[in-house]
Amino acid sequence: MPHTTDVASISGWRRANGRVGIRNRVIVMALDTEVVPLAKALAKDTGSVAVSPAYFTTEATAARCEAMVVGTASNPNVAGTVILGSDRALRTRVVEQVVCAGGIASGFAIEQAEQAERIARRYQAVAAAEPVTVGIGELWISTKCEESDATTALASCPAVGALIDRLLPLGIHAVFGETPELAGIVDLVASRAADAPTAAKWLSVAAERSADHAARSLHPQPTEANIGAGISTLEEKGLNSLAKIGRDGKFLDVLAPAEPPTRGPGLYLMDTSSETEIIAEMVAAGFVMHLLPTGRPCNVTNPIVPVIQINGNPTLADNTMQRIDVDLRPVVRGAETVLEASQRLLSAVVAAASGVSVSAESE
Amino acid sequence: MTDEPQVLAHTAGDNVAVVVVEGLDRQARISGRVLEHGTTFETPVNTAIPFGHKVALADFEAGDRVIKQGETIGYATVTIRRGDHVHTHNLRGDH
Repeated sequence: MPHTTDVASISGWRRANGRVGIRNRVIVMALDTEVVPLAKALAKDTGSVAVSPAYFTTEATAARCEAMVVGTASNPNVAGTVILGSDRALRTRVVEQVVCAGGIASGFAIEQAEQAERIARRYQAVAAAEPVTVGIGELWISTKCEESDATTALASCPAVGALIDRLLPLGIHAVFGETPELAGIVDLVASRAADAPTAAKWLSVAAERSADHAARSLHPQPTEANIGAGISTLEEKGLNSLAKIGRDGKFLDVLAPAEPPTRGPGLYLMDTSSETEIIAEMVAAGFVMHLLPTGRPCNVTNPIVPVIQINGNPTLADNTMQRIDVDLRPVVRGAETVLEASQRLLSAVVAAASGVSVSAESE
Repeated sequence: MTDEPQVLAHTAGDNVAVVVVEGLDRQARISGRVLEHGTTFETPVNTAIPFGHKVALADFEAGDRVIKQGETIGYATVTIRRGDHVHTHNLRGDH
């Protein structure tokens, strides 16, 4: 059934670069461990969010780390960023790049705490502005799954896929990643590339990851936990993961971790690991909301974007579901179709993109 | 009104289905449903199969393709009978 009229608008804040944020966070960002206590105190005093170096992934090199800092601070969900750091040159460089990307930032050293606090309060005053109504196509949505099992394959991943199929024609940007999970279905993934050069780029990054995986003797996929949950082969695991992108979308580019997409609205593949921390890489690329299908309830939050947790595991007791934003257990019980479930997921996405806090934000 | 399914197949072409109830044991007939179309089917279960694991909907010879979500997820390594548990002991992928 086509649904068009019921796809609601969302509300957000339009930034200088034209992008729309669905949160108006003020960030106090620590560039080194020395300033972390100050960042935390300042964030607490001013109702802001502290981000410390630990937030950035361990895979990151120094150069990528800097790109991630800049990308995070210029994410459209951020109204302003107070940058704290001991290295004056780095501080200045970061602020310049954030401003260049359309964000708002000021940099301070540890002995400038008072000025930093004054600026944080000024950003907070600006952040109190009323949101405006925009089309849902302005959303940039990222997705990765956790604790894959039979229920993520049956319910939560395909429900996300059905939603992506529905929203791509409305102009959203969407990104998925987790190259190691796709190792068993590399050719199938290539067939979802928008054109031959993009398919070739994917095959080359997949081969590189696979060689690196072997060289570092990383734990084999599927993992022991996956096998315990009934996943038998790498192909099966890959199909499970790929269900998140739906059936229709073709990816326009293969992005490096934290690299912003530049080919316009559509689907993108980011060449990432499978770790939870990659959500930060997607956020640094400018995505403003994350969809997280899980096999078991996971404690995953993000300081910049709402993380919507989607779970369809009927073996879980009701009292373990507090972390779950969209309960898809009816799909696995045979009481609801994936399409019906994706309609409920859409409602949750619209609510979260209109300012309603998700479970991960309410602590 | 239909009974709650005990196994779900992703697509009509799948030759394995996923157990979606706990404590499933040997039984002559259990109820299944194809997730894609909502059509129902019945299948035997020859052994206890845990939640989330797969049951064979057809007989397999060694080397036969195992199809789930409409795609090949691997090959039978031994003879598998309809109703058997399908997992790493009798199914292997290419990787």
